Amino acid sequence: MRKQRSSLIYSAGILVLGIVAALLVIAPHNMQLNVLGFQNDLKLKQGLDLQGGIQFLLQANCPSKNPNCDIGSLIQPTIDNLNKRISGGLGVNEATVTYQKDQTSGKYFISVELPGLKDDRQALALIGTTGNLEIINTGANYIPPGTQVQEGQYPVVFTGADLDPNSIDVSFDQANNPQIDFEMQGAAKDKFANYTQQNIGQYLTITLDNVVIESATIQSQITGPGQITGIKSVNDAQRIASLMRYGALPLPLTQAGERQIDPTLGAQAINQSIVAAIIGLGLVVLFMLVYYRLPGLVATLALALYALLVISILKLIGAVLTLAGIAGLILSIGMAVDANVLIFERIKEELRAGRTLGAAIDIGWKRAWPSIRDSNASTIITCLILSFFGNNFGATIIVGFATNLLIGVVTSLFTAVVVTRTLLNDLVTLFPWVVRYPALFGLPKDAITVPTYRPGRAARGAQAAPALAGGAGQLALASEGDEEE
Amino acid sequence: MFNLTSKKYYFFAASLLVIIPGFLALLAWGLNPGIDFTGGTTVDLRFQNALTSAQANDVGHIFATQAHAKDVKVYLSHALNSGGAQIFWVQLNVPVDSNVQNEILARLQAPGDRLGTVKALPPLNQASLDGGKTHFALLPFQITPPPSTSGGPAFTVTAQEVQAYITAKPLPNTTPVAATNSSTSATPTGTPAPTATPTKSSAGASSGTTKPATLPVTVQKVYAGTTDQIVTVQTQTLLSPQQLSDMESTLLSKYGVLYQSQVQSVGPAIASSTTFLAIAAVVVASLFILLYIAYAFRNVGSVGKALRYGTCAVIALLHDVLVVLGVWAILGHLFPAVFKVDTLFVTAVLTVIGFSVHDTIVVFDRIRENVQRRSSETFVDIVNASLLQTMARSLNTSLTVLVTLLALTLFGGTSIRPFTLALLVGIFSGTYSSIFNASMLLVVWETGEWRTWFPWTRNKATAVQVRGQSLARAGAR
Repeated sequence: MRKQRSSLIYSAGILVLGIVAALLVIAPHNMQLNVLGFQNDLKLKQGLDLQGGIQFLLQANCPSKNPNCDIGSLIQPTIDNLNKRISGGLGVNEATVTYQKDQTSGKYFISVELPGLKDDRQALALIGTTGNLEIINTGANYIPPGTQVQEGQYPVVFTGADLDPNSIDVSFDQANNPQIDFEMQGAAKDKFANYTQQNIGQYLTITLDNVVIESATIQSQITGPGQITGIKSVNDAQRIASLMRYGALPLPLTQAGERQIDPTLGAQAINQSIVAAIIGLGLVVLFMLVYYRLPGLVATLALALYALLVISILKLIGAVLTLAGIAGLILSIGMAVDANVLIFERIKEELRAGRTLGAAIDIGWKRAWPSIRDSNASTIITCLILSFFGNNFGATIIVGFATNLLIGVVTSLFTAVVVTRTLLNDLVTLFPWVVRYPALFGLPKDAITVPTYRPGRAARGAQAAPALAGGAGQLALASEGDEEE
Repeated sequence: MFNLTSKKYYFFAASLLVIIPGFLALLAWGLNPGIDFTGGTTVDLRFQNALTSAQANDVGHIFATQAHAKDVKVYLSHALNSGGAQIFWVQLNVPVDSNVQNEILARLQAPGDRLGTVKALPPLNQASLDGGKTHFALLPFQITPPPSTSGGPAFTVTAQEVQAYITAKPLPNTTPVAATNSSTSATPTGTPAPTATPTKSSAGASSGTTKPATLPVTVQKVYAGTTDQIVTVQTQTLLSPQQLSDMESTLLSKYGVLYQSQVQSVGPAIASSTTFLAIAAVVVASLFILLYIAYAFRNVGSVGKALRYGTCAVIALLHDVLVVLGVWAILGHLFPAVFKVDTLFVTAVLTVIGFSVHDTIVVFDRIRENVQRRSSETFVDIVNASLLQTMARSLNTSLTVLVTLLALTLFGGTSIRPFTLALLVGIFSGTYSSIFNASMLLVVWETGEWRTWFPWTRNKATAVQVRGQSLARAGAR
């Protein structure tokens, strides 16, 4: 009885989940939703290849301190830094950052292509800023924020390189004003403590690209973390924190152009791919229905829910869908099908071995589980390692693929473990007469054993189901430890 | 009952039949890196009228066939925040010297705010519409109206106005300007036919010495641009100025007036560090998979035996990667224009790795289960039975993925075909290797049969071989 009830509770939960996911999928694009503090416009973001985006062209210049620098050798570190700022600071995956060299003038440009069609001022503010942080000694002078200071006007005591990147974070003071936490690293730690001790009462001024962001008196010696206060908005605080975290660009950039780029794949290619994907998925569904019959129908329902869930998750976390990401999803659909196929093959085996339907579903699922677990675990390991490497070294193409595959695998695991199993249990509970038609399972006549102690009464679901479930429980105990009960 | 294990050497041979040529091709020819890895040239073209995507593809095709540009991609974009800038082309009867060019610019700049800010753009001074027999000048200008208080552009300028400003008084004569074709012949790929142009007669004397300005200049037509569309042609080939000017003439005759707003060499989109990182990530992932499998299969006997499962799974993974890379090296050599290594190919290889291990583990899992349940049977029989039991599942799963990919390959359009083909090859190999390689390697390892491969252990080997044969017979019953 407990099993039957829990199965129905699961079914209700799955139904609710399906409805929520379906609503998310069909939700209008301009809807605003606040998820965990993040504004979400519930739009399925597509990559440069599918949807196009905005390209900023930035000219790379030598820093004013070193006007004769070798731009060619500094361009790659600049690109690496930009990649980190974009994926870490903006949270945008699937950006393309390349350098270009003008063949006539020899000038270097950096092209930053961001997916999506928004003309994003904030993105430009984060990308185009050099991010050269300096802590200067302005003695007894208070310098109001926003003041431009001259290079060399005040002695520079610390630079952005002295900051520990892992310590930088945005927090809020008692009055709920944003502030940036920071801490020095290495030798700068002691130097900072000594400096603040010797200069109590003096002004410590923090500048970003020679513009003052804070000028405050040193109240006491600062040995541990410090805070930068007096920042106007949370957005500004987050932007400055990103700049501090990833350090200054080796080359200052000036904006040279801005354009909206069409999808690189072209509308025709995208339409063709969609048609092809529909044909492919249609064939898969057809195959499942013909080969596995009734369980195939269950799997199709599970796969439909899988698709709804994946699209909802992609929308909620704002992941960017590219062709490469779609490859990851196709692979995960394959894995979702695989989990179902594994379960059905086992159920068939158990039915052939003479088990009742309920028992066969139960044992079949339990037998299939280790395979499903281990194979998906290995894929999850691969995803985690790929995204770790990609995230830490700014290789966004790897991250995008791994993220989509991870979402797909975890969701397929969920649909196989919870959804397919629950739906199969429902099948036995709600339509017990199916056992009389082995053809529905792709088996010969009389292949399914009908419980002998309830001859001919299997049609009455309310009475037959507990017996089936009970039988299943006993057999499961006999074969392996029963995890659920 | 089929006896698969007895045919294992045929299966190994089939794998080697693909891997050895592929590996040799990898060594000899290497992979065919695309523009994502090598960088190349990008040319931004501005036409008078917007091109359709089919026309844009044709532009790419012209670059590929005429300039022999490799790995050509065409992107369309639109200038943003250009402040209502308009492009005008002034067509003159002959190529003109800088004196005339400056004079025209000065006449357009003279009206000041009535015309806006005027900027000269890269000219086509040797434009030709008759295959290089006669040349004329096409001078593009950008006219930006002063910003208005209402936000949008203050006004628009017509071609007639522009022409009126230029031809308000007669233009000065120009010194004859030589065709550049004959002087720059150092292009290795494109071999432009040496043209005997009428203007060439003065080519010899054009090297710096001041010549009298004798040729009269007239404005033939002024074209007003109607689009802010930018057609970007990206190619792996570093195009020479000569090739670029040849392209201009061809495109001029086909798609009307244009200019090259930007010609730049681009750096690789995938830094070499990314390639290295991808490889490092795969190596680390393989190690973790090996450890995970060893842990998951810890109850097959000893730690050593569990590690065998992991090792065989990783060997099957390497097999699949080698198959895809090898096939790509061969195809890339045979059809260099189509089979490139680009961002998508890297993703395809990563996908294959994910699938390969997934598929192998399912087969191994069945072996693990049967080892525990059928302890009386030999390992060879167990593997054989496990393979047959999982065969339906292996084929069904792979077929569903392969069918989807096949549909994408056949109907998905040419631009994604190499990508889906790489996946198709990899997934097929992944299925094959988990059934016919990973499990067979496990048998060879488990029975100690691999010793027979090495003659210096012959003494021990004969004994093992006899045992192996009897096992095989037992399996064949």
